[in-house]
Amino acid sequence: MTKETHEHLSCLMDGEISRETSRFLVRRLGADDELCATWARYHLVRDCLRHQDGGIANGDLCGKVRQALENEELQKPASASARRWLRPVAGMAVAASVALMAVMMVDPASKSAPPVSSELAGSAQAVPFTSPQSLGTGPVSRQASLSGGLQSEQKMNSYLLRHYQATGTSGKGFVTFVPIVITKNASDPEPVSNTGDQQSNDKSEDALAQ
Amino acid sequence: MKIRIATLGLVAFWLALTGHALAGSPENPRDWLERMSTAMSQMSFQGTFVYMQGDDVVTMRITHVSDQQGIRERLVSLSGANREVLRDSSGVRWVLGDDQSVLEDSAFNRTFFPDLPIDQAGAMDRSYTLKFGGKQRIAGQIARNLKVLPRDNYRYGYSLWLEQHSGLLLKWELIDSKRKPMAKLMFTEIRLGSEVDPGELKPSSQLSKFKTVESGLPAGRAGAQDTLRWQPSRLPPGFSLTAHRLSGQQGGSLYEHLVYSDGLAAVSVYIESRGQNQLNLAESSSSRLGTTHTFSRVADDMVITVVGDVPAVTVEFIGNAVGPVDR
Repeated sequence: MTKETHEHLSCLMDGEISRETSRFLVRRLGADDELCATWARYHLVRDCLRHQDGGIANGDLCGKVRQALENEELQKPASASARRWLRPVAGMAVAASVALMAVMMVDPASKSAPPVSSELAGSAQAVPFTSPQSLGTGPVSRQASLSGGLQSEQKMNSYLLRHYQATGTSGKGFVTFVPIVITKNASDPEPVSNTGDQQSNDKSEDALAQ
Repeated sequence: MKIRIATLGLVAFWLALTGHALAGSPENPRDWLERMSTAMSQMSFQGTFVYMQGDDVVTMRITHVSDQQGIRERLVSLSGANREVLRDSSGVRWVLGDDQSVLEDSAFNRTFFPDLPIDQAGAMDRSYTLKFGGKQRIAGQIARNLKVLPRDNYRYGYSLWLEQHSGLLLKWELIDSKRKPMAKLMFTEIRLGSEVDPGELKPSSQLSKFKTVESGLPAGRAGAQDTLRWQPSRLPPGFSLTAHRLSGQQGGSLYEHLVYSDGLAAVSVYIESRGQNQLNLAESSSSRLGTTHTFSRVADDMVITVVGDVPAVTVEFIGNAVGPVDR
């Protein structure tokens, strides 16, 4: 593997790489075991430096990438070449318009939705603001699955969709909807293991954190 | 001399203008959250990003167009399950390509629910510490890091990398109270404004051939404090009620949807009469969908379900505290 490839890999990890090179590298990651190992090593080193246990260096990441690539439906952008020369101009236009927006922006609070009534806001008593020492980090549930049949699964999907609509269309926007797109089988949410003691709670949270 | 005075006047005007611009530029982390929210909604952007959680790596494509037709959005997975989310003025459609079905929630009305997190003035400060990080180049753009750190175990934190001018989110990292990363999302390429191809809003799946499934949830009527039938007797710190929808009557078929927020994270609480097809429901149960946790239990022949992008302990805390309101 050349020094240039190493540099490109490092840039890819930091998101500092052109779209074309990024595509090439990701494709190569799906086929080149040596490159995969280096990629995983880079992440491990970075995570160690940042004191991030686990993270994306864990597990068979390259296998996942390979599998993802095999299943990927390629969607080539239309008339990319025609847009290429427009990019700097368009980028400047966007930057300019955003800069103008910054100057002209009115008080953001004035454009937000109507404030919540004090009646609603005070409807339930919040517990004192302290982190509970005995707080378990995982659920204490006696059953492992929500599924009580297809009807219940559809009900849960409906709850999820409405929740995301009600809470996710502002703020972080599309990121809110990511969970219902990534899940392998959305109608069968991944159950959290049976828990009941602190040890199990820790395990389930660890599993989540991986 | 006249020319010199005119020049000086122009320079003074320019200085005043730029001074105003600098003074008005958001340097407060909270203002940057506002800016992110505006950018995510009002800008047009299109890009490919990688989402990582545990061992799962998923490539996704987002097309978000904001124009005279309003906001139109298509989020599609390029790897893994064949799924899409289509959003426009008529609502949200969740396309489950593998099942050849589309879930719709036609009764939902955006105006029923206040925007989050902008309207929660002050609530965020009680629950999170906000601070700036460094700058980083992501997908060819310079991004500024904003850290939103939780003050306790009842909520997640975020490390956000926002495009330095617009505030558009380029990288997102979900962290727990110990600042351990739990999920990451990062754009590998992004186009802005006129570079966006609206043609990609068209669904790849043959929707017309798919079975459309209606959520069946009622729209409900706006609730006030005195109309609450069920509610949590206590809440995790910082959370308060932001929306309430009610349908039906106690003793009959009842549906209540309560939304609680700490200014950033939101939790939905559903209370619904147990249907005939839910008789075999577990007494209580928990599950996880990505970074979303759910908790459900049965009480007095009602099914209480709590859903939120918060730790499992939070949905369970709220779910166990829900009970009928004494009058």
